[in-house]
Amino acid sequence: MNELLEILTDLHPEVDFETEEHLIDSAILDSFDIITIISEIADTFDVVVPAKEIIPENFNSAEALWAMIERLEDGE
Amino acid sequence: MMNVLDYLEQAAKVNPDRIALEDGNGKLTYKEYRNLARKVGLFLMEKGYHNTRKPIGVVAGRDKYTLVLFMGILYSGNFYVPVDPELKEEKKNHIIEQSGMELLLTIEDISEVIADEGISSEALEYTYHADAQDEALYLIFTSGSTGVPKGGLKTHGAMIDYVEAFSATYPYAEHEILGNQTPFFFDASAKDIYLCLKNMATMQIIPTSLFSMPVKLVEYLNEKQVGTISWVPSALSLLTQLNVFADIKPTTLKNVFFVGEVFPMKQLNKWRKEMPDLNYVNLYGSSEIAGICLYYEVKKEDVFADTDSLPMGKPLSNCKIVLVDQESGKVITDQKVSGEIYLSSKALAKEYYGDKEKTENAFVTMDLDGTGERRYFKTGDIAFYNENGDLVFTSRKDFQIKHMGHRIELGEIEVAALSLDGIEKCGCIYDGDKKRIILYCECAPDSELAGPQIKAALTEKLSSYMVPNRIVLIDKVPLNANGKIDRVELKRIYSAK
Repeated sequence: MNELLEILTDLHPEVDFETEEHLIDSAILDSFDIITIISEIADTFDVVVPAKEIIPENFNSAEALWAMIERLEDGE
Repeated sequence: MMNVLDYLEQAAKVNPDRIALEDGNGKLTYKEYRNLARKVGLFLMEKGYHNTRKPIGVVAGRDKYTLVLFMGILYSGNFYVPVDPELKEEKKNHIIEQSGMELLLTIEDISEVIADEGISSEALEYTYHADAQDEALYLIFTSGSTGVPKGGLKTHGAMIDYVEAFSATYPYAEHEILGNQTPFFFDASAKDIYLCLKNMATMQIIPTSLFSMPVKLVEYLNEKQVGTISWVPSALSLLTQLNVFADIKPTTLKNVFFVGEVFPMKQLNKWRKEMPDLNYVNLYGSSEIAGICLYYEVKKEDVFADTDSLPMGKPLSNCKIVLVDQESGKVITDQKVSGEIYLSSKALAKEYYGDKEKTENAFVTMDLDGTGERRYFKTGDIAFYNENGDLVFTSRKDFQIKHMGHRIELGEIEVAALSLDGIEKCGCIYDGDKKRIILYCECAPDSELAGPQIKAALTEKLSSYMVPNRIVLIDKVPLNANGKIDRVELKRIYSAK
């Protein structure tokens, strides 16, 4: 989880990712951020995020992202 | 056809109940579009802007009422100046100052007018006269490759010239549905707006949020039965970079136009592999011309290596192109010789608004090739003719450098780098003081590329004097508001180090 927070904070130092729950709904993350996050997740956790997982429910908060990563890790 | 409002009037008469505009909040028929725009026109006239031929600003969000505002301003006998809602205060002030606008409207400013049933849209009389062809239509400020905003002023006549020429080449289907991606403060969106009007097509204004949810984006295209898109390559690349077609494919899409920047061949190849039956057309234009001036339709039999450049193609029927040698000023007709593109057309912008000096430097009237005097725009784009007579872009004149005695196109280095597996985006800059070429690379998620490997690979592809002196891996290559590589920002990053 800390590694994930680091990735996110690098991208948007002004956002408190431990509390923010509307990263997509409030348009804090744009499509280019998402490409970056997905590549970082691949590098750091060795997890490939399929396109169908790129939905607000999985990207609105750091917690949701982490849950998705764990789920994808387990699925392999 | 006297002015672009004739298209709207015509559409409202012939297809009053067809959906003209739809965004995330609802839709407007052609009749509603026309009537609401007329009401906005009346509102502005009453405010003292009756036929004043003045610039009126619009905070141009992704909303159907943004277009109602544009048309309303035209109905009042003025011209519109779209402004990016996210624009920093300083740049916004610059635009306000340079355009001399007295009003900057948001859609909230017209919400009462739109809701007021008491206003009759028929009370408005057509204010344009026969010479409206030369009247200002809109003014958009672009940051340009150098970072200094410039405003190309388009006229009604220029836009009509483009729309008619393009529609003759690419007729829309009987009831075409277009998926708009380009923001309304971005010059490329004018193509969508006026081609839809002329062809009485439906414009789906795609909500920005969908570009962060690629599967939903494709679902949306399918649900709305979008047949044509005209997007910037970065938006198109999103779908292939995130491997969306493995999950879902567009089902109603037929025509893919791309505008605004060079489409990385690797991503275009992925599109063509997944969706081989679509029509892919590369469009080239600039903010100094209404619409576009060159186009290249990808042929089914075209096979491109990831290292190839996609041609810009041939001029649209309303445009004349002359290639000029930079040293001698002579016209180039031979293949494989690079020169600057000079462009002549009725669709050319009238001027850089309020900047006589810049206008005179960029727009020249001369007899270049012995066919008579014409007004040309010096595009600053360097290109050559290939063996099929198609123009192929090499680089911007501004990105052309002299290094170790050689004339180098930084764009060529970028194309070579982009052809390497694992490099998603890159931007090249030149440090003239230290005589160093610096390449910034953004790598794919699964890539393990490092600087030395990239350098070794480039050494095989490029002449030795073109191989970058430094290669820097970067999380994200900065893009400007138009989605293009932001070289000004790259230079800032470089000098901050």
